[in-house]
Amino acid sequence: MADHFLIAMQELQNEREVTALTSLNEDTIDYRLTLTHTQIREIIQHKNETLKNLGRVEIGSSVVNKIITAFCDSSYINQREYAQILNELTETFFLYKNETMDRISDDDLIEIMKEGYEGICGGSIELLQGKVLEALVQRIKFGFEEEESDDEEMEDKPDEA
Amino acid sequence: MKLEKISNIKKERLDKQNYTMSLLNEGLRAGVITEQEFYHVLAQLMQLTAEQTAKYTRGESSSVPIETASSIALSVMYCADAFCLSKQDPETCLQDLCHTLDCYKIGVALIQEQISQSRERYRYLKTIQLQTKNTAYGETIREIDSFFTAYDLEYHAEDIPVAIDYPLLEDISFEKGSSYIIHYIDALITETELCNRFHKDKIETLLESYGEQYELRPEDLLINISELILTNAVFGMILGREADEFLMTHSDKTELSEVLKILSQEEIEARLSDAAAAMERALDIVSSAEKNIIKHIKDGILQSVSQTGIEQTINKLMTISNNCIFDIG
Repeated sequence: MADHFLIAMQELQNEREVTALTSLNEDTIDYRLTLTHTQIREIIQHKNETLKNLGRVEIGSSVVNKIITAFCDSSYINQREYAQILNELTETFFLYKNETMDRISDDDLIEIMKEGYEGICGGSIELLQGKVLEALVQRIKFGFEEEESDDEEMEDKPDEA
Repeated sequence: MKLEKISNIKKERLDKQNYTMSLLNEGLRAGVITEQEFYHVLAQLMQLTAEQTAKYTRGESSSVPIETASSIALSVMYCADAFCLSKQDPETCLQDLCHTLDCYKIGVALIQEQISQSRERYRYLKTIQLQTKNTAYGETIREIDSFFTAYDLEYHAEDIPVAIDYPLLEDISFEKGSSYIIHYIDALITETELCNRFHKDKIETLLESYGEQYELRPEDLLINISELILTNAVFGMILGREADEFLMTHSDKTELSEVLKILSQEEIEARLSDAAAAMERALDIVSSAEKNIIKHIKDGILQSVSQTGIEQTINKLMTISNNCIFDIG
């Protein structure tokens, strides 16, 4: 029953998202970035497939909307690759929501992604995943253990300290 | 001339376990609500689910794992179902769904009230609890207590966060969440009240005898105690015993077999019905819930006779106590 309900919800949400992303063009046009109606449909479809593959459901506000708002002023995104990059960023976002076990908020993850993308990754999503986000996962998953083992190391070597 | 809307809602199409959605679908099919109204209600439920999800993630995430989303969506629907099921007339209910935003909140309040009442019933159950060695019975009653603090109506409404091991006579496995526990407590009270009409030491002897057949201690048995007692008691009534004389010997078994094997299926059914009626009178059974249990026992015996014959039925359903000389005084 929940599956049918969630599918019906997803369909309703898709319609709302089309409207929301279309109106977002009014803001991004300042950065010479716009999405056609077909591209919007494709982005939503791609997002839904990503969510399905990763075993997630989006309910309520759209994360694509937040990604566009955060990344539209990027110096590494141009109109020609805009839709493709949005798909890759959305996919990366949901992948690392899972990888970080939902321990990081949407806004914080997008902020880290934007900072890395604009900074050390120089607009490379591959580097963003391999360097920035993997390091984030390590910190979230093993950060506490690392700190603990560091402390133990310090305790083992009091003279060196 | 004012036209009256004629309801085409077919109640048999409504699914109690998925009531709101089945009602909406049927309302749409029957023309009681428009497609616009259908999607309006769906959008409201979606909005509620979104709000509950936001509350769950503390507004920090718009997406959740599918298991979490399912559980939250099912919880919203569970409360909406409680609202809809409280309405007598499906059409009125559909109109309420289309024009009120409070179906979820009203549903939550209804369930909380039901749980509160069930907690009172649970306290009563503990006062009448059978004094038996059977672990499943005792532990399950003790375990139910933690349900009232562990149950999560908001996010896991369909879950039953306690271990219920003792099997009821009635199958209520289709029930979910609080409905399961409320139903379970009520059924166990009825069964326990029935069992309390019988001598407690005899019940323990019966459990020991049953356990011996399977080389199990009475503590370890996972059986329904009332079924065991009442089945033997019905057999006893056929033999002209008192209702409380439910401990049977090998000679009783032979005698019962002799009595029944010369009868036709119709005559056996009549004998069973007479025995059940006599037991109801003897035990002063007046409530429909208790009468249903006696009927369930009688029907079970009859079904077994028609499927496997008299000998096998008696072998399978009658519990023999090797040492059943019992002095109640």
